[in-house]
Amino acid sequence: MKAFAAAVLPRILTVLEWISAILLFTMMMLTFVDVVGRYVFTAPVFGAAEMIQFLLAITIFAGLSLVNAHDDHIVVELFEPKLKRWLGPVHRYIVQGFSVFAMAFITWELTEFAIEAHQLGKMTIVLEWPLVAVAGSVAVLSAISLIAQILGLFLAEPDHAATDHASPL
Amino acid sequence: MTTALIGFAVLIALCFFGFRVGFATLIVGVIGFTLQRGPEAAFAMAGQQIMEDAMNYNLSVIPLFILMGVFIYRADVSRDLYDAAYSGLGRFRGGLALSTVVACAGFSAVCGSSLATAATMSKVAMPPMKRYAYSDSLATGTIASGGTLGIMIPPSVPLVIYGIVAEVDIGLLFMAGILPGLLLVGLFMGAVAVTVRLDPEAGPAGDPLPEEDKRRALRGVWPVIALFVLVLGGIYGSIFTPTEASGIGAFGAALIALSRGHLRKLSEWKDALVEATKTTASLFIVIFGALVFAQFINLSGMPYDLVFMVDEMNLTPYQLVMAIAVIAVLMGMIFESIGILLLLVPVFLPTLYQSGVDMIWFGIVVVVVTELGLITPPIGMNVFVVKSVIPQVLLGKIFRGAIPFIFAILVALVLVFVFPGLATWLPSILR
Repeated sequence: MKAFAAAVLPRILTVLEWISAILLFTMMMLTFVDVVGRYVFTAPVFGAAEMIQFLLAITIFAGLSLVNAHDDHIVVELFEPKLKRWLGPVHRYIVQGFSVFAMAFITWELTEFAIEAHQLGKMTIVLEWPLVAVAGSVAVLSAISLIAQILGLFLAEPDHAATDHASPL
Repeated sequence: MTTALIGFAVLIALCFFGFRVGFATLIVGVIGFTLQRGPEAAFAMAGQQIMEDAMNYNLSVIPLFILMGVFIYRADVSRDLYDAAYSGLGRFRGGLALSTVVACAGFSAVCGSSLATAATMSKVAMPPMKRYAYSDSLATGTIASGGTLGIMIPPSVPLVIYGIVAEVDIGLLFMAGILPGLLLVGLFMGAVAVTVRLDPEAGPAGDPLPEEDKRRALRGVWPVIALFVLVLGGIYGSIFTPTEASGIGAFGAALIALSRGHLRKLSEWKDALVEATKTTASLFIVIFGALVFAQFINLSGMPYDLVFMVDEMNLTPYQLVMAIAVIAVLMGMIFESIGILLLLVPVFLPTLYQSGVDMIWFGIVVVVVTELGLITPPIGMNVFVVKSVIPQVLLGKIFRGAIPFIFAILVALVLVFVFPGLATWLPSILR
């Protein structure tokens, strides 16, 4: 399994790195072009705010694989190092098992949301795009991030956790 | 109320154990909601909440301001900011530390992250302070503390998150952060002055900067000032929304980086964008979890029970905010800025509104308290960041060096309490 993870995970992450980079770049350019269009050419981008909403959702979940694969989540590091020493690998199994369970729950709920959006034929308000396009993409990316999380566990060093989990702010 | 308190206790226990904060808040929130409304409603609420947050237009300002900070970090403007400050302050005793504080303020004006400010200044300000034989504790304490200005001086990501949770105008919050930010700069400089007066060896005066370096530094600083004015001026002038301002800010920061010889390769762009995306994703997991948890807390009735409790205790708005500030200081020992904002604020929102507390002023109080948490043990994230960039200095020394600045932040907190106008005056002239 470790060899499989080592072969597959980097490829998944490379693709997702490019996807998330392109999405965030698009988000930046869209806001810029919208503002310039509005003030310089009196022609804002129609539905720009709604497009930014979709881009935000998809960017987050594209980036989530990159975070999950290396377990770069925010963690309280007060007692964790001591507990790890006391409990050894058991601590890691419990913590990572919980993270996988939570991520599976998120994926499940997002999939249900996407299915419902499809069944009810929900449309977005301004652009009138089918909501399932966004919700479905988010659900798929969430599922991929769950896979990346599980594969990442096979590659991570046992004491990897708690080295780089600071809040980014 | 009891259910909510048990929920908080379980959450803290899980976080102490090492469960990832975002996942722990989410699952505790869902279980708490399930106990009150059943699994079907709880699961539907969680899916709906996550999707709503992920597609919240107002929250899109977060990745874009993070991206702006990443571009500015990579633009290497910190050296010019430092040299420009040094050209004016370097000749005084403790001048290098004073310059560090001012450069941190300058960097904070285009970056909403404390950790990025501390990290970049560690690289730029530490070598000259080492050269002039500054004491390690003054040098590193100044950098760690100066970095905290990142979340007070706008743009500030924690202020954005507070604005969304408390439903306060982000533009007004940014405006409110300016005077307390400048006050903190002054107090931090005072802390340096007192330190070097007590121990003159700790921070000797520097030599004058060569004219050529001075000119280069000033040339490098003006685009940063222009970007700050453009982003904030745009928001205040209602020329664009905060989200648009963040997009323009990120674009402007990319141009600055380009003009300084960075971001010339596709791989550099990719790396910067990926870094911002990863930061965004890890933040949003906490946001999702905390807002699901907030749903459970709201359902438990705790926020409204608190309204009655505060009413019965006859607390004045000041006493109430002081009590919340104490809780926030305690929470700052466990959670980081986001945890405090997302877990504490929703609980007290109805009470604060009921008591007539100015929510802009309260936001500034919370951010000042959060700054305190960044340089005080046991967590002190800014101290850890400085330590990771300058590993040869002992952690205890950095914490010791931060002590004068902790006092400075406490003075700022008292001043913001005594003179709320420090936070509310600028927004009031714009309202």
